[in-house]
Amino acid sequence: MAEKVHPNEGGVRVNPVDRRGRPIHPAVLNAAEEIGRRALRHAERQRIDPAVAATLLEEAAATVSRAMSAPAMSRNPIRDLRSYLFRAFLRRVNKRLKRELSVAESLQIRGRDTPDAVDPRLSIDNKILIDEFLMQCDPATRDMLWRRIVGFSWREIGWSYGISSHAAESRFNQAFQKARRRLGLR
Amino acid sequence: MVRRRITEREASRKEEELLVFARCYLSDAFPNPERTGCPPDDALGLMAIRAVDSDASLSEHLMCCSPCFNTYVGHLAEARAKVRTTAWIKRSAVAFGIAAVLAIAGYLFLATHRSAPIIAPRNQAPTVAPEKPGQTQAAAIYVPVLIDLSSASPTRGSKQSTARAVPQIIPSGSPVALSLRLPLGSEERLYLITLASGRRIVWSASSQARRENGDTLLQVHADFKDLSTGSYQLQVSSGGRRLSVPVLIKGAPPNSTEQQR
Repeated sequence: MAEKVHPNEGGVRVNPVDRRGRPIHPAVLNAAEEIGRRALRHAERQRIDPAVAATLLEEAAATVSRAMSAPAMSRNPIRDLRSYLFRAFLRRVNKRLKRELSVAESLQIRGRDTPDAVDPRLSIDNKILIDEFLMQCDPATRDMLWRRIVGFSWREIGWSYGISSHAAESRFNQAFQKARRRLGLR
Repeated sequence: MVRRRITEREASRKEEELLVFARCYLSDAFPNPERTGCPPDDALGLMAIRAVDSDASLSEHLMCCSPCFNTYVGHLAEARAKVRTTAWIKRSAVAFGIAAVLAIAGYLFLATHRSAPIIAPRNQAPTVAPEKPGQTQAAAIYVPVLIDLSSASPTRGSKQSTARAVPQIIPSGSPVALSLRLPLGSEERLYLITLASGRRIVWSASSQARRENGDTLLQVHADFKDLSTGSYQLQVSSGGRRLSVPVLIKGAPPNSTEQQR
């Protein structure tokens, strides 16, 4: 997993101080520069301007840097800083997408009323729900989602984890309901 | 009930849509052409096979790296195919085993029942029956009964004897040692002996005929305790030839009952 990355080789430069001039933790800065290109590519796929995406990444880095200096974090240190930072960035991307969507709705500039139009709300809601689910749940439940995607039955998933099919399904559904509740979805 | 079914179907459809979306989204939305931070392929393969021992950092990487996600999905599909094949082989082996056991059991059942009489009356010899308290050894004694079938052989000519044959008596109170004297010239072969009430066969046995002092005799043990008293037809048949005589099953006389006591 750990390998050498050279952020300067076409990487993304992240501002070493936040908006209020507070320095960003060097480890966070390093991680932000490592994941920068991936983060910008992801944002691009979501039709977010790269400049906006870079700002979102800097904001995420600043928040994580602040969180790292909090006393609670010393008791439970971050295991994988890059993944943690990427998730923080992803949350900001999702929040941004939601906001854009509500603005578009209020202005009624979406062409979804035309017969051929595809309602983008559903895919954005699904994206946010999937992200939230993956960020919240434990690795085993996350793996259950991947197995479901491939077409595993609950029986096969239960067998993989040494639990009953009902227990596997219940665990997965509870995690999904939790994510839905957090997002205010039914 | 119907509403519940519709709700379940709707939920299932929504889940299916979400899974399809998740696959499209995760396999495309996180490009990583430089493969920054990607784990080796073996680690993903191992995770697909042994889910319980999976590394949390691998799992976290998979949610934000589409190339790794696609590789992992491929490994999962392979693992699933293997599991399904193994399960199919196991199931087939179990089904084959069950079929073999059933076939053997069926064969044994048929083999044991083929040698038994076709109609099995409960005429087990009293000697093998468990003894009840108070039951004496006298109950196991067989009462010898000789039934003469020598005159039962069909005669030549169209006119049959109109004289009604006198039925021979068989006691029903205790087991009997039946000796059937066959007509003169009967062969020493296996005969089927049946006792019929009207068209219903109530008892049957088979016995090998033996010649003693010029007579051909069939000897068989029987117990007619369960049969109701009355007239029956005793038939002896072999090789398409059938002899029939009327018999009367009669309760034991009072003095003999007292003797047994």
